[in-house]
Amino acid sequence: MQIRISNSDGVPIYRQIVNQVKYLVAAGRLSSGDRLLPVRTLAEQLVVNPNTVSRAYRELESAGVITARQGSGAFVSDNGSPLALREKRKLLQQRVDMLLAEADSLGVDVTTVVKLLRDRSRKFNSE
Amino acid sequence: MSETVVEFDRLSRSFGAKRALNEVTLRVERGSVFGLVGENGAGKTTLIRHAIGLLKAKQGSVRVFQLDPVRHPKEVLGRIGYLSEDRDLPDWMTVAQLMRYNQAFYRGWDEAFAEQLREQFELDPKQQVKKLSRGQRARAGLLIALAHRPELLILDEPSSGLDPVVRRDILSAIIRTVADEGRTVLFSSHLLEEVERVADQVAMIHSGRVGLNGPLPEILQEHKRLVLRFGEPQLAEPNLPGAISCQGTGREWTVLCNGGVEELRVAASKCGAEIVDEGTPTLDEIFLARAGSQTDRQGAS
Amino acid sequence: MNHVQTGGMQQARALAWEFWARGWRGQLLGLAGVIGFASLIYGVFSEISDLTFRGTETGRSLHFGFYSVTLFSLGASILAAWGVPRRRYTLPTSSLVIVASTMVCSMVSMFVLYALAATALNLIFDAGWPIWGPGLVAALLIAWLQTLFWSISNTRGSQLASVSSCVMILASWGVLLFGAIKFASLGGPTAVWFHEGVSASHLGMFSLASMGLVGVGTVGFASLRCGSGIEVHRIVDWACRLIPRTARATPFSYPTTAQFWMEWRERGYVMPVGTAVIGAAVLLITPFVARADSSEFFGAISAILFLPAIVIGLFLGARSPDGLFANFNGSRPLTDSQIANAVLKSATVGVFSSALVWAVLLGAVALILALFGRLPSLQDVSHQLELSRAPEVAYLGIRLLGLVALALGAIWGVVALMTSLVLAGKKVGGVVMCTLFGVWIGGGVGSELLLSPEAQDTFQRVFFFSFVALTLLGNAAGFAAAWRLKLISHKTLLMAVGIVAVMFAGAHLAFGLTSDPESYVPVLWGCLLAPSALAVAPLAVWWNRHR
Repeated sequence: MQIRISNSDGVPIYRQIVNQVKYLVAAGRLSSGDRLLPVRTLAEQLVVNPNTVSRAYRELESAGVITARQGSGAFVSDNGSPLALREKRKLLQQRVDMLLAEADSLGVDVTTVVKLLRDRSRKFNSE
Repeated sequence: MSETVVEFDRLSRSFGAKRALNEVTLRVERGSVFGLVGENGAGKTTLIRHAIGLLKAKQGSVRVFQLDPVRHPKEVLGRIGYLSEDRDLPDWMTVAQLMRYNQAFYRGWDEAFAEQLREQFELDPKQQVKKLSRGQRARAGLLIALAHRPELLILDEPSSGLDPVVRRDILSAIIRTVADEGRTVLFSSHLLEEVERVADQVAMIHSGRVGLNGPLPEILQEHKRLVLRFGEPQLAEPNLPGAISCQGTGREWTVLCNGGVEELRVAASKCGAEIVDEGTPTLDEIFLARAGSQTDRQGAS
Repeated sequence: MNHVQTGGMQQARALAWEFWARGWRGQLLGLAGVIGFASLIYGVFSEISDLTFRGTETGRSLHFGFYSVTLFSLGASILAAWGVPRRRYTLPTSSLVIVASTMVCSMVSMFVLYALAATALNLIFDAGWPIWGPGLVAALLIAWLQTLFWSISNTRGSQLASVSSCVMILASWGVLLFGAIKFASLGGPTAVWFHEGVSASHLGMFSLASMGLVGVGTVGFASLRCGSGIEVHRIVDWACRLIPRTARATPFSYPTTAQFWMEWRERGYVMPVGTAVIGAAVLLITPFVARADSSEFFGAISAILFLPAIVIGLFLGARSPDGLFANFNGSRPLTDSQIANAVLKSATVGVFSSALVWAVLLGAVALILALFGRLPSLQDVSHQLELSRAPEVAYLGIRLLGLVALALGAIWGVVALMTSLVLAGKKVGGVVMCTLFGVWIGGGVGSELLLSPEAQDTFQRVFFFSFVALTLLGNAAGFAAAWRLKLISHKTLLMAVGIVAVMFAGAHLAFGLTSDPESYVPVLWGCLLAPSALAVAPLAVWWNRHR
């Protein structure tokens, strides 16, 4: 479970943890039933306040991504996949927004971008 | 969780004509990491020196563990680990002597832990303190502040002038201290990224006054950063109610506000502007906005 | 080449400007201080009696005393004008220009300031201070000091060593010239040393010596500048490694033990070591002491060993350069009285170990004198102690015992009080000390200057008794305040009573007090004041630690 905290982009630290755990689940690097690092360990590893980590875990729990079991820690939920789809879309959406903005500033229209995406995708699959 | 470890109650202090602290009221709860932020000379060190009894409360009161640190120095200081800003340690002692000397004072001194820290910090026991590099000196100071597992760890500007490795050691020490149930950290810093990382309570001090004080998540949530786009280029800073700071040129201006987004939206539309972006500011931005606005106000009055 | 030459001159001028711009206030202040202080004493002397100073023994003795004061005061101001030599390392200038220009400035300053002081005092009081000889010697001494300061790495220890080397030069010059020092009349060497006329050969020697110093200074400065100079602390480290360090691995049993260890290792040890260093210098002079002077010599070295103890007392109390409690020292988890006790204990051990060193030294001096056959006879000693009876060993022993008890108590009292006052911070300590001293001297001198002899007597009696009453009252108030603040316990009070008792008994054994108040009141007063530090020290910590 690799999480990186960055101070520069103005996203609150607990939100960064939440997003990255969601991403890890969505990407399949954390599968259902996996145990998350205990709050203390993760806090020491990331050098952030333990309360921040607890808050992130609470948020993840209320979103249904993880389940806390009394005394034995937090685990990735079984019903992670339907949510994962939404998360996947949300994560991709941010990248797409950035791509569109860049295309706009370079004077490239959307059709060309879509075409480019298709081309790249074909190349990817053939490799 | 609700027990108060350090309590400043309407504490004021002047040095000559300079008012260093003005009616400061703060509480540090057990188990929290309390970050004091403010510019150089804002009064952070003066406040901390009151907490360890090196300054006597002239107006108002100071309680640490419900005791007056001036009248009970032995009881209070024995439960505190303190690293001062200047990191003044007896220069002539060797690291080993420094450890042995400090061991005598603290009942909770953990010899094995001290030795573990010494090895982790790569301190040569035979080295004299005056020959340590700046970073090693800070580590030696940190070692003697931590080795007795103090109930309250007080760090005054622990990171200033240190390399990233030592800064990380210090932050880890803070986290480790607070992760142990019931232990408390009070630290001052002007490296706001660090404060944002490790603190859960923050107080901003500006010219001896507490400007902003509360749980860090709430402070961050309450503040909003808005980008306004005006129909006409603005020559002067637009006067918007509820804005703490306003920066920009021409049509686009970035506004920082504390709550009241709707109010600002209304005011902006009156001026012919619309909100084009909305985000959460970092502690750094909030601090700069607050410090700047107070300086402006003082300049104006 | 020509271009470089003018550059050098310009740089030298800039360096000279720096010297005076930094130091002119200090130098004027030093000069004013010297003239003012000397004027006060000369004024009192000429008011009391019709002394003449020019060419007389008194005049020469006074000049010798003031010459040392002048050297000290003006030297300190010039030292301040140098600033930090390290700052000059990066100047695009040759070492020769840097060293020579500053040294010439220092020498000229020293000579001119001394000459001004001498001229002023000669004009006002006809003090008879010679100008050329002492002025040139002073200039050479300051150049020597600069050579040392700028050639070795700047640690406080090496600076102290440099300054003492100047004192040693002055002393050994006198010893070499005259074989023996006549302590009875310090005018002896000064009369010849400072003769008015300076011959051409003297001037030649002066120029040669100055050039030599510039050369040595330049070489030293240049090597230090490129980081290959004499690193004094490396030599000290090497010496320290030779001494097997008593590594006490066991932890301290009590916090107070640890605190005392810290006080002693940081400051306290300086007192016996200082005594030993001065004692070594005394031993060097001993072989040259004439037999007729040897009993006076004993008296003189006792005083010499006592004076530094007071100065060191000032140093024992200082908590940091600005006199306030530093963070580390102040945040020890100890009560105020525990910290005060550690300081007092360190001072006490310092005084007693110095006394031991001093006793050993006296033995060594006696041994050397005996080897040279110059040991004073018992008659001389009894004369020195102003004994009324024929000297018997047992009787002498008892009196000496009493004297030692009294003296130790008194020295301890003074040192501990100085330490405690400084412990309260520079400002408080300075104000209290200056007030006490000022009132004492002011009352005495003022009455002598202003009142008729009959009125003087009454006034001095009243003044003395009110001074006694006030100081005793202050002392009692100190103890009461410390008691009320719970800084001292009944143990402290018992200790105070013990000190008073031992000292008073010692005084009685040494002098044989009578029931006449004139006889015992001053002694009792001194004894009662001696333990004042026991209350002042915790009060001082209480005051200074929590501002």
